[in-house]
Amino acid sequence: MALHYRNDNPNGITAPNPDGERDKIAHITKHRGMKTPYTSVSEERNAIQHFEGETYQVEPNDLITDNHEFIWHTDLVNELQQSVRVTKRAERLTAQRALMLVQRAREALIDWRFNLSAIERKNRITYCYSNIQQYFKRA
Amino acid sequence: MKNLYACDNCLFNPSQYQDIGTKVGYCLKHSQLLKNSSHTTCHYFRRKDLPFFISEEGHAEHARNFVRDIEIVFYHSKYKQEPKYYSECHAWLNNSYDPHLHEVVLYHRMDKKWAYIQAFMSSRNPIKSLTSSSLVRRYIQQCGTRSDNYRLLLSLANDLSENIELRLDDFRFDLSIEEFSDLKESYLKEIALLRIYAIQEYGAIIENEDIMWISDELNGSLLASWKEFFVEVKSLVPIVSSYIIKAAQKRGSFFPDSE
Repeated sequence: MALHYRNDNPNGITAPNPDGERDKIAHITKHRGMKTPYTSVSEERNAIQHFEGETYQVEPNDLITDNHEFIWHTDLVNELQQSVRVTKRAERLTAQRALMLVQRAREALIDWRFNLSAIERKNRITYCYSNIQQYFKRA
Repeated sequence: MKNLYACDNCLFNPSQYQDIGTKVGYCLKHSQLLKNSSHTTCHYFRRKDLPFFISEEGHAEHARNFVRDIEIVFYHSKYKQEPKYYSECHAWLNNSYDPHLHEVVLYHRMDKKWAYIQAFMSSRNPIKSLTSSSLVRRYIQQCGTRSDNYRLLLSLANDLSENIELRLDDFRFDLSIEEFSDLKESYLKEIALLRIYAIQEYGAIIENEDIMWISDELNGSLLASWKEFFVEVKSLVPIVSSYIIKAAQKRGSFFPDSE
């Protein structure tokens, strides 16, 4: 499978918040803040070349093998287009914004599926931070 | 992905919007040039790419994260950006004079902001268009309900029917012809959306739901090509104008001297 890319903090990939709401549009637009259970990646390195931060690469197959969910760019676009069609008011506005961002950045999403049952709630973000780094290499 | 809380997406930096605009930005809050606007931010940051009433939660979180950063800082490191001030003389001598950047600085130094914004309107130039919609949004937010700015909004609504011409030079980064053709339609739509967001924010200020949710009149045409979307955007003009006029008439503020 094709490598995907992400620009992020030179110190490492930003941790997802596994206890955040699974709201893809809020994740993409960040209109409700930064903390979500997803990590965004791009299927095309050139599409994010002007974004700030260090460029990392990730192999979707490694994630899928470890039971994390990978939401491909095409599927994400289809889902957002459907939201634009059927929603109204604030939901439609944010769906439109998400769609434009996703199309420009050729964005796909990683939905992390760590087993967190034995991890105390206050330690979950730190746990995720430590465990997602292994999937990303500096590009 | 794209840092949506960086200065290149901030209302205080009128002449830039993400990938398009002047090469160097100018912050009206700090009276400083923005040479790293995709990498910097501050406590006062105000998003351009969504109406404010949609993203209040995100703004509140950002302000908490940068609570001590009243100066411009780099997003990740929070290192303070060394202040750079505008000098027309320096710009001419260094062959870096940009008329759009100069207009923003002139605006900042002028007393009669309202008249200057009005003069900015009705341009087919994309940078002027994004600058005018940003200035209107900032101006009406600062005025709040103290003064009725329906005339600015009527002009802005009228501008929705202006066909914008976007060129390779209007992008802040060097792009190949292929990249340009990929991004062109998207940013033509964005320029129209930024004007619509200004109208929606005005609706929120005057508490008029018809104006606040005018975006629903587009019926999802954003999914279509720019050509089709533009037809829908143009059809908004008489609807928006009539809403704005009716609301101003109801408040008794619509050209009161002429009656």
